[in-house]
Amino acid sequence: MPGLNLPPNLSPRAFDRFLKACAAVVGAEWVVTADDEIEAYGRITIPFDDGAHMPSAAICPQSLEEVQAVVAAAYQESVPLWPTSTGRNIGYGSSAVADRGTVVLDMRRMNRILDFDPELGTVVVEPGVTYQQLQDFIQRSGHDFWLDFPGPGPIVSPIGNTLERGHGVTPYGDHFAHSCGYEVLLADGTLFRTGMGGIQDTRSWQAYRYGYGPTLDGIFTQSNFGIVTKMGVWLMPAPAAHKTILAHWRDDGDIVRLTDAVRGLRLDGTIPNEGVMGNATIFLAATRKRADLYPDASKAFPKDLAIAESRKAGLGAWNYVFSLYGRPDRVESDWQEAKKRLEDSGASLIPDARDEQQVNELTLKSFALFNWIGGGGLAWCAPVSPMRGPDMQRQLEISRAVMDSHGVDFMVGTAFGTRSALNVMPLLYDRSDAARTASVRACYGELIERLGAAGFGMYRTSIGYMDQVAKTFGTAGIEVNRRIKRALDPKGIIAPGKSGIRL
Amino acid sequence: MKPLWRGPLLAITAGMSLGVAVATTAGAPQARWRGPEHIWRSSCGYCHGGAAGAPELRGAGLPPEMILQFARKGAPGMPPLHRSDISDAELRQLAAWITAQPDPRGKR
Repeated sequence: MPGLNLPPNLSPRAFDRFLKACAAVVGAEWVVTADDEIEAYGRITIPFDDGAHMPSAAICPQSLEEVQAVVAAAYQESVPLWPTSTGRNIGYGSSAVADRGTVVLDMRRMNRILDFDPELGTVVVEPGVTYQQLQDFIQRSGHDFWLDFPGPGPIVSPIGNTLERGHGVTPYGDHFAHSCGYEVLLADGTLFRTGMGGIQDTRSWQAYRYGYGPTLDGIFTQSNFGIVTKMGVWLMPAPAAHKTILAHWRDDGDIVRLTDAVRGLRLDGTIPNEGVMGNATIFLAATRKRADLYPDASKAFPKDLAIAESRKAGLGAWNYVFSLYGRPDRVESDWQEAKKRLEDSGASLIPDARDEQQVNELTLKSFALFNWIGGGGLAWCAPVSPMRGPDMQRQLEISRAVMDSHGVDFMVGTAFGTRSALNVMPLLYDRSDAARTASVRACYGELIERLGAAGFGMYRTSIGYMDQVAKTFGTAGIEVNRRIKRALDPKGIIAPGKSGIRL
Repeated sequence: MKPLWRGPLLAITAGMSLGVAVATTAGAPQARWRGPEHIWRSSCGYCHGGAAGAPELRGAGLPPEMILQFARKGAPGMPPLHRSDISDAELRQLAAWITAQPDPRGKR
């Protein structure tokens, strides 16, 4: 019964009017209020009760016109909407909502690939298009382009991941940087296109990102200022050759010299992709079960044991997988240069490694992390570090100390940019264990505080911590976002609480 | 022991012949799925088709109704499939297809 879980400050009568208006637009079957279906929308892996982030309903439009009508009804009745694309922001909140009772605007049925330009290597997609669908489409076209996708690539969408400013592992790994041209619907019904998209009959919308005047794309990422209904994506031309390498360093203290070495290779372009670097524990978790290695579930997995097990498998304390792309002679030249400089930093190299994601092969192998402990609990904690060796070491040591104190296994997968690194840490736990869930919840909160006090901030966070993370970026930022929110969405109907942005 | 670096590495992580931008579809959304095998290959099969840590569903003798319930509700480590992703009719076809498949490992 939808009335049991109403959006905040909304009367049952207004909510009922809204649902009826939506049913008239999308059809009654696409106004979802059944308890079992709503519970599925509210399923989370993060360490909070499902009920805390449970939506009241979900509306599933199949076109821009239907989204416009739903938003108009929401605006009329002041109903908050939580837009999702495929709703699989796993480890950050999935399709659940920040404020209990918010209505999910599920745009999965909007799954058209609207435009493909094989000369420029661009597509325009709707929110429900998945990377799998897009890859199938490109392969059927006979054109040779690669996609860059995140870990759960087959089942998630370019729009969803890009708007979260997610990353992949090829040279196009910064997804926001490789998006071009958004169509955005504002709460009052205004529909506009960013960049060159406002020019009538333009053929430049996906060619040039910045348009004229202020560049606005960024304010619609990790935000609640509007609903992105179309997005341009730049495609990577398939390289003539590629080579994937695994570099590993023996000792925990090697993090300083390896960071400095990789920074040099990233800055001068020798290594063109972010790749992924994992500590020993996260590499173990990709193939092993925790209980087989260390039965004490009350303590964090010991660092020394993780490194010892990693060495047995021919790896080290730090393990970095990257690729080289381009003409064969360029790949060979870059390989020789990378080899010399990484070996100078103490690395051992495995020159014939394999990572499907780095070579355009879709996979869900990252889900293997769930097998480490079992129980389905996962929260990604993702602080940014400048790519200086001592800063990386400091951030990782603070994180490890906090996680050790809560009995949470310290794992990190690092995406190396050129000047910054995203240290993406999965906090894994058994969601059926209430005490462990509480420990992980407290651990994550302390990580935000301790890292913030040390000058570090998160690149992204989950629905349970958005206000707390926003505070670490300062009150001025919160107030500027609030002013923009009031101007663009004066009733606050779009994604209340997203990134800590409220009226 | 299988070398880790050869195993799964973790990451945190239309035919066009003219070189012009082409509107590929218009009107109604595309039918996402082209039958149960397509759904299997594009989604379920990534984990349940032999990957370590997830049960192989083919040849397991699971009742279609059980498959349907797990798909809709999800499970620890597995996101639920909503009606907006796969219709009831498509899901029933998928469940029947999975149940009818032999075990690819040759087990009985």
